[in-house]
Amino acid sequence: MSQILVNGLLTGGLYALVAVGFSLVWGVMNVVNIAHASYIMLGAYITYWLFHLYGLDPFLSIPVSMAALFLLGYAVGSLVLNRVVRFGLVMTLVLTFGIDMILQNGALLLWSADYRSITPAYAGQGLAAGGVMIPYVRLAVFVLAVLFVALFSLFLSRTRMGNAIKATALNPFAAELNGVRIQRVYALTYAIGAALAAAAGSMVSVVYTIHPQVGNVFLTRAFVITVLGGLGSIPGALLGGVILGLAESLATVTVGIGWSEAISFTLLVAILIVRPQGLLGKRFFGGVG
Amino acid sequence: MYDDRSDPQTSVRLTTRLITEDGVRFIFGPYSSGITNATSAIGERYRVITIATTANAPDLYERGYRYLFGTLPLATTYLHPVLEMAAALPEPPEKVAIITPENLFAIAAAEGARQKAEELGLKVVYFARYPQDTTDVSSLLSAIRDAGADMLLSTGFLQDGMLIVRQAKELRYNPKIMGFTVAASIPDFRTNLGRDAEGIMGGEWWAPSMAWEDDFFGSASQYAEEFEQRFGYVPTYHAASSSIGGYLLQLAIERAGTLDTEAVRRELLALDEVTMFGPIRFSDKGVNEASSAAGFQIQDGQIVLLWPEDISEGSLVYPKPGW
Repeated sequence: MSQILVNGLLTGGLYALVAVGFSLVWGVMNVVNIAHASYIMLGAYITYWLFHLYGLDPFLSIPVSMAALFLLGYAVGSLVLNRVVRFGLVMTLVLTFGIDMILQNGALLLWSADYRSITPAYAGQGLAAGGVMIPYVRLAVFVLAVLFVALFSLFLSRTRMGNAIKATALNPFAAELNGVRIQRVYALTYAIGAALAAAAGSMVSVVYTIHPQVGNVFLTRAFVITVLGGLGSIPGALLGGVILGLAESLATVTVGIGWSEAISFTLLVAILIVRPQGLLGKRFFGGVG
Repeated sequence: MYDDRSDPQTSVRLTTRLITEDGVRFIFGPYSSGITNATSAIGERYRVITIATTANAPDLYERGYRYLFGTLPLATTYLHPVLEMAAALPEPPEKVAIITPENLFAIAAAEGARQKAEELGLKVVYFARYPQDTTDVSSLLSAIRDAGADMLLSTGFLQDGMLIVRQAKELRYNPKIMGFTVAASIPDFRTNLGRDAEGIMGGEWWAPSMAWEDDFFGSASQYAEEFEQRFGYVPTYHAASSSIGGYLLQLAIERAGTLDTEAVRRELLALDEVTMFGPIRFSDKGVNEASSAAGFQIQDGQIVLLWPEDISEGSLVYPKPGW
């Protein structure tokens, strides 16, 4: 049983990191960012190629993939998204869906649909504690995921830029009156979301198989976690990720793994009925923190 | 020829277009049982022959269709050679776990394996279906280990197959036999997993090293060489089965001397050939009932055929080496 809980917890950490950028963009900009799936995929490929061509350790490539996707995210945010963001949820949904299709098909053209994977020397090694196996890679992914979420949470609450993001989430109009350049905040928020997706992608690449559609599986989970934890809530994403990981893991040994997706969507519906703002969400729209 | 992107709706639309606009009378079916399930229904309605070269879930052939022919043996028999090899061991594994993704073809192969295991006196202690796009099977494997299974069979595809191997290693779960269907025979499985693929067993419909031959392609190995020269990679059963599908249709058309679908259908049913893909004879349901899968083990990064015994190229490493 303790093995099952450990499995769920470790998976939940990765889920949380996958969801946090998605939740941020949704909460601050009111954009359901379908392209998040592609940013995860690109992060995974960057790590794959750096490992494959230069032998760079997958964990050391995280800053590179984050920086690359930050730039891409900033470009998409400032040049494309900012032009349509005021037209509302449906327009931006269509737009990010389009960006997602371009990036996925681009990846398909460039790198083919072949399945690829990264196997560093320490893959499969682990720590045995009281009959419970803790694989090093998954442990590292979990710790880093929690660390990223914590650092990002600090950034939001302690820095001027973080406060500007929070202010914009609360009320873009009022924020603008106070001198916040919201176009810039939007571009930056979108870039941070992409960079967090890249970090998640880099970590996905060491535990999972990489292919152009790899992000899609995680996108559905990001969606569930965001609603579960509360739109734009950073601790909510962490909590939601861990809950989803544990729920899937426990479902496997109780009702059967075939039900794990049914369980996660039941959670989604239940939370919408009982607490529509999410576990740690604020009642008004897009409370970031 | 159209690309259906393995999307059932697209495939159905394109099949309809092939028949009603392009006026074709013979169709080589799409990849996968699930999609062929849909497209063959259209062919049946218009009395157009579908040669299915990569679709062998039994459900497809139990619908009383007259115009559907499958070159592969039924999916249910996929893991039979692995189970037969296991049962023939002096100290066979005692408890079997079988896991399958939620997929028409994979479930058929898993159900077929369960039935065969019970016939052979091997106890199936765990049977589960998992979502096809699962990202984590660690808890599934933990449950299998707790059930005491010393033989793990999976009918998953490449991605989930690799996930199972990697997470089994992470959990230090060491079954004596680990057997896969499609996953293990795809070269990417071996190149990606490296040493972790050692000792994994599988069923295989066709391999270049098999001793089959015919007048058109020559031997299986000659076919593989020519294929590699032209396309740059070693063919798997998918390619060989599809080539044979084309060859059989040509034979049937030549023998019928006409493109009339009824006459060609009669000739397809009358075929009794030995080809580089193995023996072929269609049952009334359109299933190739003459052939069966071979069993293999991955040894030193290569697929070594071991079963049936008369084609064996080596000896089985048992139990499978630990992680």
